[in-house]
Amino acid sequence: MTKNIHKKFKVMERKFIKISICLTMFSLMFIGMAKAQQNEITGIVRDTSGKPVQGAIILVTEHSDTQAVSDKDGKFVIDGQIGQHVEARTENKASGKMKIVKPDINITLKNGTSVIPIGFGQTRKVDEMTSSVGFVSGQKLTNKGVINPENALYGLIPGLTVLQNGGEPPTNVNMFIRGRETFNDNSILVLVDGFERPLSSLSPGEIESITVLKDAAALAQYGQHGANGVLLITTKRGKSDELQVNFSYDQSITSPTRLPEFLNSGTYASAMNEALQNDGLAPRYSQAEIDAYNSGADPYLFPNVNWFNQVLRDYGNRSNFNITFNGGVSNAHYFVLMNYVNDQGLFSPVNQNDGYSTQLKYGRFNFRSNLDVNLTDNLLFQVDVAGNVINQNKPKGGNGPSQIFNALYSIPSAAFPVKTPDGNWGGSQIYGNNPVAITSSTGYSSPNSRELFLDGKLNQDLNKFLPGLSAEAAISYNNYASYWESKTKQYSYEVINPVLDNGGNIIDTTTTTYGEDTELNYWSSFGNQRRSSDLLGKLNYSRNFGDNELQSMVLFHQNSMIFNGQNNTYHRRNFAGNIHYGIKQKYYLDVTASYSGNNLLPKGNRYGIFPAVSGAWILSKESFLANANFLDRLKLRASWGMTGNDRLPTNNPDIQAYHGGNGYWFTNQNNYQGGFVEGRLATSNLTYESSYKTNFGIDAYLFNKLALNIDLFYAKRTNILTNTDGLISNVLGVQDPLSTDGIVENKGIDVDLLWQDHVGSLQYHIGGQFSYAKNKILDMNEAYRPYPYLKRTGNSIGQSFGLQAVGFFKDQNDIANSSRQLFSEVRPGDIKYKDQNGDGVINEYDEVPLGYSTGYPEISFSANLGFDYKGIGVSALFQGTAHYNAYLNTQSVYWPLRANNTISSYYYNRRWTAANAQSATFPRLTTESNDNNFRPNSIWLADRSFVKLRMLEVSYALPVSFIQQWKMNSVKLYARGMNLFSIDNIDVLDPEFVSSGYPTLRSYNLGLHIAF
Amino acid sequence: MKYYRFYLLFILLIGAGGCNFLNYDESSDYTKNDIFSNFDRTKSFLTNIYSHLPDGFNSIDGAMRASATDEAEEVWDLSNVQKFNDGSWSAIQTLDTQWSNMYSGIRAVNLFLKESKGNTFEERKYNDDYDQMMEQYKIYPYEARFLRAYFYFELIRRYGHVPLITSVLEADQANSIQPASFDEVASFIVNECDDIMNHLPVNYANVPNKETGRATRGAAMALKARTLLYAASKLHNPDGSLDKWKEAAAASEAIIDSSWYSLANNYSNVVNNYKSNELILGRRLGTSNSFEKSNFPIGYEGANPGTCPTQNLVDAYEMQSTGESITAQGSGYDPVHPYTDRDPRLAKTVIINNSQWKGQNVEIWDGGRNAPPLDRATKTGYYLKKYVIESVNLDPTHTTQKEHTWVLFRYGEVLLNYAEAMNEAYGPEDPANLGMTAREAVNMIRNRANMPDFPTGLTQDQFRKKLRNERMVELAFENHRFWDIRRWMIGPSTTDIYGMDIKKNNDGSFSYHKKLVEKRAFEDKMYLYPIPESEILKNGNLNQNPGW
Repeated sequence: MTKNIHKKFKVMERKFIKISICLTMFSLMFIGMAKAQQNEITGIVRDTSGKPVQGAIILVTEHSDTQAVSDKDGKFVIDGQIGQHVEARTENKASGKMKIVKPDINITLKNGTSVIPIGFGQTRKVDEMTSSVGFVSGQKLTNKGVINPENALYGLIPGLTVLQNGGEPPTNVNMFIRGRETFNDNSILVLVDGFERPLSSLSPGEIESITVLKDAAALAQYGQHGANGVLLITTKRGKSDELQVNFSYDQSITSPTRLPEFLNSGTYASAMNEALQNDGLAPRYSQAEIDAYNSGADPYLFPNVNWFNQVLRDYGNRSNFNITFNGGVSNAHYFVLMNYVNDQGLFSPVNQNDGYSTQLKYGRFNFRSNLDVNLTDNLLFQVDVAGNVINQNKPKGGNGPSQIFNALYSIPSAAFPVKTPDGNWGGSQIYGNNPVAITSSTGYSSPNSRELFLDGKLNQDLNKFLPGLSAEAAISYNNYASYWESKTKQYSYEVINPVLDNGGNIIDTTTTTYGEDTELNYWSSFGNQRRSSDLLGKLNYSRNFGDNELQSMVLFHQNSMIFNGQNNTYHRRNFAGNIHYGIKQKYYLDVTASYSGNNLLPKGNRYGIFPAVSGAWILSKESFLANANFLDRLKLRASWGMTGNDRLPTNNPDIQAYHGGNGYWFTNQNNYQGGFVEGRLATSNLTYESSYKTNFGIDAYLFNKLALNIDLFYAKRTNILTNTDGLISNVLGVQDPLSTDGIVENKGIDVDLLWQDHVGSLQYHIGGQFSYAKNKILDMNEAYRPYPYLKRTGNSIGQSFGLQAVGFFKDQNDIANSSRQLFSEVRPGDIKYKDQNGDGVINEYDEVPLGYSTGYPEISFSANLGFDYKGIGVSALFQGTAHYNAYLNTQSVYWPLRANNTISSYYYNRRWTAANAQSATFPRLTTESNDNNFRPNSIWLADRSFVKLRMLEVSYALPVSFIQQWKMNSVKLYARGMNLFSIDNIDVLDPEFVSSGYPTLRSYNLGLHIAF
Repeated sequence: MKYYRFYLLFILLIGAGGCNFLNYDESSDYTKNDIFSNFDRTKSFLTNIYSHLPDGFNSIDGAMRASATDEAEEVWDLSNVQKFNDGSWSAIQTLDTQWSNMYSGIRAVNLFLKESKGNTFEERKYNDDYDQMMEQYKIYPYEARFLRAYFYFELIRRYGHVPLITSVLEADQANSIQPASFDEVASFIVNECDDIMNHLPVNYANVPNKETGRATRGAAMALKARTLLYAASKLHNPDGSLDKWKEAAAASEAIIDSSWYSLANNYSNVVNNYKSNELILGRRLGTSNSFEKSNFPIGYEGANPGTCPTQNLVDAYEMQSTGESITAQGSGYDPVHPYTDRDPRLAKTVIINNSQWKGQNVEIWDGGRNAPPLDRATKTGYYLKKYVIESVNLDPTHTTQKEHTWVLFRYGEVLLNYAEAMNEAYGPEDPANLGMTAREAVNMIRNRANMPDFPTGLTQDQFRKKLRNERMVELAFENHRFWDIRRWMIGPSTTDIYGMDIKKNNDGSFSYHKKLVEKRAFEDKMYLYPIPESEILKNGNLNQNPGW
């Protein structure tokens, strides 16, 4: 293992060397170009998308009394000299700054990146940050063509790994910040405007920005709830006094990224015979029958059904309407959004019913109204109301789509016809349900949900008591509930059986009807609910004293979250404070601490103190680097601190519960009486997980073109709740207590690179991100393992274990001369395993670590590139993962024919037969459960690394001069493709979704965006 | 200024949250006090301890313990029970690990004794049934102690020496406990039985609720008698002390003398019958058909065998007319009709070829409906009948389930224990001061089986040989043979496993050929189980049994 790590760091080392060589070359080119010379400087201010910005205030840093304002084409003229700096700023805080190297310059405004939210309503200039955070502006989410903002986050922020989970709307994802640090709950904290709420409840268009808090300096203020990382979502607010209307419409068609192919009926029948023969059983199909399947002459008795074609249409479709209003008067501003999404799924036979469709439909209406009112000059009042209404339609009951896909992935093409000659559903007693019938004739269900977010906030400026002092108070209330209505029915189906004469020839057929057609049967149920409320009070104090600047705050926050069911109510309370101190705009120091607790921990152990310190040094402002003209900014950061994770893997482990256990039978009637047993012993000193995080970072901006951020981190998580089964003798007689002995370390690197430049009117950017997080279990109270290689301790969380395959058994002789494999009877073509411990038998003790985890990748990376030329834009986002495995156990595709399942052509072409024993990559065909082959081993553990083209967009912005006649500010037309291709080793299924469920989708979007 | 009202509101809200905000607790589990302050829950806690009593239905990875002896051969090759036979078990690959189950039963007893002591359940005092309740409650500690003694018996017959724990351990004590020797634990069991037997009812007919199935005085006496028998046996009595045999004989005699039990009229009724007057203690179970599923002959709907009796066992059944072993001269055994004139218990224990099962003739000849080469057909030419309930229906549309009861102690065993101890202590014909000879005791068993008496004039050795055979036959598939082989230390003589090759002739008759099915491994170390390696690693005071 350590060898591997070395290797990885070597690879990284090489990358760094390459990067530094490039940097040196560039610097040589640019040094010396700067010459001091008073001049009239002309330039253009543009925003990050390359559009000229009107009304930006321009000044030269060195003599800030001179100011200019950009005109409607973004142009400005100002006096300055080469070597000085030009700054540009707009009202909405976007800003840009660059060194003058030649008389005409282009300034790109970093929209909002200069000041970013860091939690609890605090914002900070990026230049002054001492902690490690990732940031993305909302703009980057809206061009991803998705309806759930979670799906827009792939590859956007280094350190945030986002994994897709199938394609059924709303396609929620798994998110990890810097991998995994605990073998218990790794879920990250998602805050919308400061309060815990799901990101998927929002629409992409209402998001102003997303910040990812990664190191202890950024997370310590969240105390017990922050250790897994925090995603801060800030929603848009009204800014301008003039009404601005944005309207967009996006129409897309969706199709599965990949679907497996299964054998046609003739080949299936011979594969089945081959499998039976391999198992030493009689064949099921005669040659005449196989011929009949191949000829297709009798589609009823010898059908050949491509079930996917019968059940799925080529494309689903999706519409997305979005309109926002942004405006106000001098003392009141608003942002209002309405978003409507309508997604129609992939099922084809859905409209064969009276008055209803069984299509998979997802309709969502989102609304938001964020209102800012200055009640007095010193008192700001904010009221935000947001929410959504979701109405869905699904075939069959709630799990209809998964049942349909389960059938699609199991019913052979030869099983039965879709319909019998009488027009009734075909079916069988052996193979399971007719997927077409489930799709169209089992009714439908409609899950509906409503969600409401309500925030109120007051901000009182207290300058008159103490300059720089202000106070805030906020309340928040959130409510979510879902409700299911179903109208389901059953259908009848017919089984066709041949009638044979004495010679075995088919002379007639008989049909038998099973099941019955019923009326729609109504039922409804309460689905789920979630309620939460928050209370926040905060004092801010910010002041400058000469060269020194101070920003500080103390706050009180309490939160209650209530989910369905028992032991699902969480009360949390947090006292936190932060002091941010800067000297000469070069040296910054942050001290943060939180005192936080929750109701899940036992009294006396509820609260913990979570401190962090961090510092930053802006080297580029030092005189010794003043001549390094290529260096616009260079900052070093370091942080150390502690955060906590209060998510317990089980309820109340600190209390020994007595619960129902096995009973016994007494009396002459043998009456059963229930029993009570002593539960797991109580955990003493139950506490939160503590994460000690260290982070080193470099932020640089070079040549006014290249932004570079590198973060190195090391974290050690202690007090992880783990069982002690491995440590205490079973003579104790009761389940051992959980202990807080678990320790995991996690280290890695986040790299973010962005090169932005222009060649004439061609604006272009190219960026890349790389994240690596490697964890290691240092202690998990692991149970006794008879061989050291079986130990989980020392490996990563979720490390895959399995048997090492060394090939396939050639023949009986080979089996006789090999170690005995104890899982099931072994035949030629079965997997032969390595005897790791040399004890002459292959059993569970021969399982070794194989590959990586199947749960999350250690490496994720992305590349984004794009250009804009006179309104024509192209942009692309590639995203990938590595050090990631998949367990190939999908029925029929990888584990075929068992339990009357079908078989994929992929497997069939790679199966072992005596003839192709050398080239086979999968074991022989079998109809049996065959525990020897179908178990965790190196054959099924596949490399899941992939590179996907997540997004490709071609857009055209109509010339401003042209559209102004209709009083429009911008009109943009675009065509987009999402998930267009994937390069990987899985081939038949999406590497992110190796499963038989509703598939992941590719989409092609056409859209229009208009701003008034 | 009016907006100060907002501040007031917020201050009030914060105040309303209060200091108890984090004291929110929704847990509703019972605590120790909830259990032992309430009669019904206290009773349920004891009820659960009964469920730790092991049964012998497919108790070893889907197979019977019999398949680890010369009684039977398991069809399923990959069942762990085969590891007993191929010798691949070890301290790492442990089998039949009752270690944890027994110690959790023992802990539960210790906890029950500690926590339930002296409770008066005041809140029920004015209920009408209070006195009846307390009458039951009075017996509970003795039932619990019986169960603990039984659990220790299960432990020592496996592991020999084990930690003897009679108090509730704290987690940090478990890893330093010292083991006690077989003799120490055995005398603990015997002393406990002596202490508790007079507090336990002879039966529950006169105890409120009439909860038969609970531990009785007879059960305690039978446990004591069997423990003493094991302690007197060669494995644990290497010096051959006669006193140990005498103690064992006296303990069995006390049960015989009590006249509380009698032999059932029909041998077929001795198992799966919790109402039998022969049953001293059974391990009761609810309705189920899983044992039938795994033992009906292959070819019967839903069948997936299973435990197959061996030729070794079938050969142990004597000839009914002569009372002689089939190998004895003049026994009357006819190899062409091997099942004629045999001990009637054979037909009640084993499904033999061409016999009736569920209204059909069982075809165990090569190619027959219930025979090889069918997958999972018998390897020995026999299927199990004892304990298998014929009336269970496995047809998927009319599946039925039946109650099963596993015999832990029955009167028949007591008689055989007595006969064995008497023969060892005094020889076959000496009643000593106990009133009955070894031969008289075993003849009671013979009479019930409609078999001729043991002849008079046998030497002690001859009697021992014949008695051991009788024990194999009478107690077949009741979890005795496995332990008898060990305590008698006759392992190596039980390793050749035979079956019957059956061919159907053209004239409808059958030809039978005895065949070797398996040669098994048996080493001296296997007389005791290995203590799980993981336990020894956790507690350095435990020492491994010799040879492991």
